[in-house]
Amino acid sequence: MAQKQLTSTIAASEGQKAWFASLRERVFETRAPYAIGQADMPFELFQAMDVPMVSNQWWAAVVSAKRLAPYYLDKLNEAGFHKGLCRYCSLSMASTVLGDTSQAPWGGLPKPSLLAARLTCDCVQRVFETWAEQCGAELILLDAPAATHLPPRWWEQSRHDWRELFEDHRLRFMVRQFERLIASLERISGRKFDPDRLRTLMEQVNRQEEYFEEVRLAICNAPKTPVRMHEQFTNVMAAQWQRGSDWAVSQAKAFRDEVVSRAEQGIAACPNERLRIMWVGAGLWYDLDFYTAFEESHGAVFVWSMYLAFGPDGYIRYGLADPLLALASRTVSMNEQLHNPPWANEWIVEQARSHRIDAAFVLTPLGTRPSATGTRFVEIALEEAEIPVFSVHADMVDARLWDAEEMRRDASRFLDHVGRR
Amino acid sequence: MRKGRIAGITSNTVPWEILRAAGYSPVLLEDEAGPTPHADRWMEDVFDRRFRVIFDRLCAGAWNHLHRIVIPRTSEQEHKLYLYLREIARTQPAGVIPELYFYNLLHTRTPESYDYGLERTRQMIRDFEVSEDELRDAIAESNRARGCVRDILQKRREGRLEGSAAIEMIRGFYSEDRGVFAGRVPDRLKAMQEQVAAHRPHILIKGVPLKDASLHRLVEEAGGYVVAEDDWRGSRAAGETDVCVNKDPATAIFEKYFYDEVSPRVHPAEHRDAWYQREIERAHVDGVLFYVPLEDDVQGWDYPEQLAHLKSRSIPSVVVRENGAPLADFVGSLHRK
Ligand code: SF4
Repeated sequence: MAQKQLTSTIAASEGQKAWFASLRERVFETRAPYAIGQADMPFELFQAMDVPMVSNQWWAAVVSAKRLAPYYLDKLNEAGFHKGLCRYCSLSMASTVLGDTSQAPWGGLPKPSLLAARLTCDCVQRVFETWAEQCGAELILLDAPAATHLPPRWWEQSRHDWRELFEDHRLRFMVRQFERLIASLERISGRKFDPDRLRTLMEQVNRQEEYFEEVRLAICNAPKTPVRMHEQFTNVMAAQWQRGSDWAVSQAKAFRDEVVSRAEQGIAACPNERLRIMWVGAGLWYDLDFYTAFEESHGAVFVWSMYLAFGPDGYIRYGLADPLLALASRTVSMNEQLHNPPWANEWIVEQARSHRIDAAFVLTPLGTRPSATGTRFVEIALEEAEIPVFSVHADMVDARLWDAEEMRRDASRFLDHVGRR
Repeated sequence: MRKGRIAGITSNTVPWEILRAAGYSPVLLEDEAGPTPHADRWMEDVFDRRFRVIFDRLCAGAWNHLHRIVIPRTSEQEHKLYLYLREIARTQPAGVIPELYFYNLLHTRTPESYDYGLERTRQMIRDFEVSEDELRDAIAESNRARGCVRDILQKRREGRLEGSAAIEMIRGFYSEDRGVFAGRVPDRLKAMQEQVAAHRPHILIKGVPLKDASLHRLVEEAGGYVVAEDDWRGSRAAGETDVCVNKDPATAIFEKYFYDEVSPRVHPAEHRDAWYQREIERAHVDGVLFYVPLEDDVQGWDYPEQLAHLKSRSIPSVVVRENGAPLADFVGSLHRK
């Protein structure tokens, strides 16, 4: 993997490893409760209740990056789950309950007290039901009514006018579900929920995302990006999973300081940058080298992914008099905003323009098929905006479906063509 | 009752009674042969063929006999179908897509989802401007049709009606005026007195939603008798109960669709599988056929546990990925208890 250029990236990785080690210690030694949850769950509630939560997708990415996904996915198939089923959300389950679980990275995940998911598809409830049964963990599922108010340019309303944007009936429903979740957290942790603490945390989350917005702006404005995309991943995700905590806010600030300073000094992540590339979709966790593979040959630098860009537009909420309602507005459409029409296509084109993107690589998940929805709308919208698109048909965690050489060859051909434009 | 307009519905949980009371003839939107260029352009391959056809024909303006499209939150594919159609309506030339309506019925069996769904049902009644009397008339018509579906299923249990024929008869429940359906079915059933199932093994089909009776026919050709299927197009079309006539109509309609309909989103699993478990307990099944193609994203998660349950009861089963393969051998190995 390309060398890390930012001190904050090293700090983020180390911070995350230290957090995980202390989690294991707390869980094993003091039997402290912890949770595993989907990435679009309200992490803030867990944070406010001092119940650590591991993001399911983050853990799947770690397992995949350690090249352990094929082993655990084979175990899943051997247990009778057929080969066509979704992998992103089930890999972590497999790594905690099937085969040799001690092989999993960093000693593996201890048994959680709580599993939590929002029902953004028809399969995830089944993955979590199976998982909860195998672990003897409590299960909380948040149901997901559809948005029917779909105005254009959602990101212009999401910070201040979130009450109107996300529909009152959906917000009230989500708050009621939160109340059920809070009751579980109170039972599990023995602590009482404090809305003022949540409000303070939400204010901190705003601050954290404002730092990310400054980073995004620096990337947009710099002649050449001061930070590579995969370093953005590390910095942003480490902070997002613990968003609002003192550590996360100071990590985001350090990242901001470093990127802005590099931009001011004219330091480019890749001085050879000639093409700015955007990556649409979840990361290719088992082959992160892919993202730097075309720098030398084509001057093609991946500068954009949703992980950083969504922070400010998706998370910032002003007007926190009712913090639960504001948090509900962050939760009710998160997955849909990132992947489906009308939100994703319009927003991604806007992002491509502001980042001066020359070409987009768009992932169509193969082994995680239901999460592929919305991809065509994104591709067509980009092409209509005259941004060439390279479709990557691959899974985000299942390396068994990935031919690294062939993909690099095809991508090179595409970039040859883009470079000639 | 006002009449004359056609509403296209995408599945079993669109409240037929509300649309009927508003003067619509609700019709289930079905698969049809032919290419789907609009779907090929906009939709990923995760969508079932039927939803691709619906999207395609609506984008093409080929179904302009429809005045409304009503889609429930009963599966993720329908949710996405709604979003896709909304986006096409917003960004492509106006007037092609009929007016869309989304019914936000949830299927997690929690008090919050109950209250939310009831409120959304009341909202739908307001949006369609229907009176209580109109609703009561529609409920009566719909319940008569449900009674006929149960009569069809009873005939099949008696061994006098092939599963494929039952599926085809039940189709009218979704595609015709239910009053007409209820008027037509009894005479047809009366004529069916002959035993067709004697000594043939009784098979229950479980798995992905069936699109027609072709799988039933394959079982029948192999000598089996499909006695039931865990599917809203078949054994579960009418549900266990009628829409209650002793409650306020909004609550009665909502509760029927909330508690007594099929959806992949029903949670917890005990509720999702309650009907199936009961059928197995009734012990009139000689074998279970799981129809789970590799394109399935949902049923495969439930399969290992369901298989273990069948094994514990010594009930044989088979997985069919595509129509055919191990099916004939499996049916041939079964004996009627
Ligand atoms: S569709 Fe998405 S949320 Fe559902 S199981 Fe697959 S990866 Fe997870």
